[in-house]
Amino acid sequence: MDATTAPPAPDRVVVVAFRKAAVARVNGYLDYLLSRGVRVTVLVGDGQGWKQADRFDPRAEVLSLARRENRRPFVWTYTLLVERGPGGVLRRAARLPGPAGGAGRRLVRAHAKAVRLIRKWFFWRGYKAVRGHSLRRLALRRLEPLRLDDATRVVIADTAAVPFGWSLARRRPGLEVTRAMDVSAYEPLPVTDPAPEQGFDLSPDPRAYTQL
Amino acid sequence: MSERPRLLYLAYYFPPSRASGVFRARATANHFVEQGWDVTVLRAPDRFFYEFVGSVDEALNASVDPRVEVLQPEMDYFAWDNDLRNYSFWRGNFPVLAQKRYQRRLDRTFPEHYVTWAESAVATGRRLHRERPFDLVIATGNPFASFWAAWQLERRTKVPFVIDYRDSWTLDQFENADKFPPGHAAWKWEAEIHRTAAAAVHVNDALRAWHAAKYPDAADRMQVVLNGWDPDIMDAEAFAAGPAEDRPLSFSFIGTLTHVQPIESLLEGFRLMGAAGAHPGAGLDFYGHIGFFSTQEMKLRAQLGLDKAIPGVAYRGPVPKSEIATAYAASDVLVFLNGGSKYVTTGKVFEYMATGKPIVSVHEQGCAAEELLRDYPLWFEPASLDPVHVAAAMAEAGDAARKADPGTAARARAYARSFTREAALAPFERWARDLVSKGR
Repeated sequence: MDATTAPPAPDRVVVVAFRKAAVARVNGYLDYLLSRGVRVTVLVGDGQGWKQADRFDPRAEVLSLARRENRRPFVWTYTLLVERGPGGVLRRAARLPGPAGGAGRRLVRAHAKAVRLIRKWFFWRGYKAVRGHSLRRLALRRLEPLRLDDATRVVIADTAAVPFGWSLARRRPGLEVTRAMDVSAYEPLPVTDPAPEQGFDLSPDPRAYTQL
Repeated sequence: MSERPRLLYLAYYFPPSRASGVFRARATANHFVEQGWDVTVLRAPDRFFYEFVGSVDEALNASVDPRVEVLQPEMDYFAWDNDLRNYSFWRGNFPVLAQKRYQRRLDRTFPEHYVTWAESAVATGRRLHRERPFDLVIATGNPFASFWAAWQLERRTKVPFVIDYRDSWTLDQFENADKFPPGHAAWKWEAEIHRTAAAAVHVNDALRAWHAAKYPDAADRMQVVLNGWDPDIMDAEAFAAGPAEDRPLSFSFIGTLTHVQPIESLLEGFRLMGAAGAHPGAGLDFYGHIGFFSTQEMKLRAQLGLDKAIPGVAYRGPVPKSEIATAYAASDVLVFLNGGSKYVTTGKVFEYMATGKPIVSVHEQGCAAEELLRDYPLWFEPASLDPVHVAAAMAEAGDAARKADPGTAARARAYARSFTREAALAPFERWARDLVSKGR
């Protein structure tokens, strides 16, 4: 087929989701697009606060910033000093025989409870204010895998991803960066790749995505 | 009165918008200017209609009397603008704080996104009033932020104001239920605005009665101004008496299709009518937009079942208001497809009657429009929304169209002449003139 008769390449959309709350909405949008042959790449900041989150539609390419986010100095130091470090020591103590082991197991449970409370009341209160900016920094350094040159639009799925979207819009004024999951442009396309009737298995899997 | 009275009309939806309420607003401005008022309209900015709503009919601009001054107070598009290229540094870097600050602004003023337009309208109104005082402010809702603007203007300038309910604010007209939970700011504002408004105008008596019961202190200041049809857009006398004998009948719905209309009953009723052998070859044509917003069209089309081919059924697309008479002329029987509520009249019923053609109703019984259609000699009402009943009523209406009795058609048109916009607005304009002269 020569260049003049080649059909136009199908649209490609990049979706950015940095919060777990966006997953259901994004999956609805992905299903609509992917069923109609639109290629979608999802950039996901799933390092912190994504426990038990559903997975994204397996037909989409998903790129994750989780490993990068978890290596940020603040996050890494916090998890080491408050969660993983003391947790590891206490789990070893819990394996000791006799009453020391029993005390160790009680301490493991107490530590787990304390970690939940500290995370909720202290860690998140501070971190959520800067998380969007931190992820923006990470994402802007890794634009190449997103292949923005052949993307039609970038959809920002939640408020945490807005700083990244805003900076991206400044860097590439010709690229549409929007908060709207507008499907009207794709409505005339026929459904060529429908999801199975029973749906996909979207149960959580921490190692599901390609790490950037 | 020696000097021309001066009216400030707050009508957010005004041409070139093609929203359903535009025709009442357009007619009100034209009627008042025709009756010797100086009319200034404050409407939404063009950017809102073209960029965010996308429902525009530019032909409507020409139908506004050139003596009407139309201004576009600016507004904040925070709630509508999704393009991050337009975000400020503040919103782009601190989206949560920006949202909170915006919400606080709404909480402090009025619980509607349109309030930023209303604030600009108040500023514009005050500036114009200083230059040359207004005698009356009329605000039409929705959006109801225009009521708030009129209320603010009254507080600051002492110019009396009238609120015109094209739709109800706090009543869900289709479900006959409250639209807002108890304690919502809308209740407080509606009560406060009723307390100070010179009048509240409603489109039918059922809505007036509901508001009168809710706000008894303001009941004696409420009145009904029906919608009507526009003779300047539709020459009712030009329609032929009936279809040519040699062509199949055309059943038509002309208007905006929405999800509240019982379209399944209509489609199935039409199919049953054909299957029973009545009016062979008849077609069912839909003219108009699907939904009020262009972004909803495809979704709604699928919801209504119009995304696939149905024998005899054709979606003919939107018709500019200036060419609406062509669609009526091509129709033999008009299908009045309506959400059906005692609070919903719809303006289309007046146009339907003006044609003098048979009208078949497809809506729940008890619809407010029934009061008007009852005395129309060519009205056909099915016993229920059961497709069998709809099919029977359609067949009967088709028979009447074939019979094409010129006497009956003339009686029908004569009845409709009492429902022009002019006829509906004249008593209200006289009342407004009296009010203004007392205040001078």
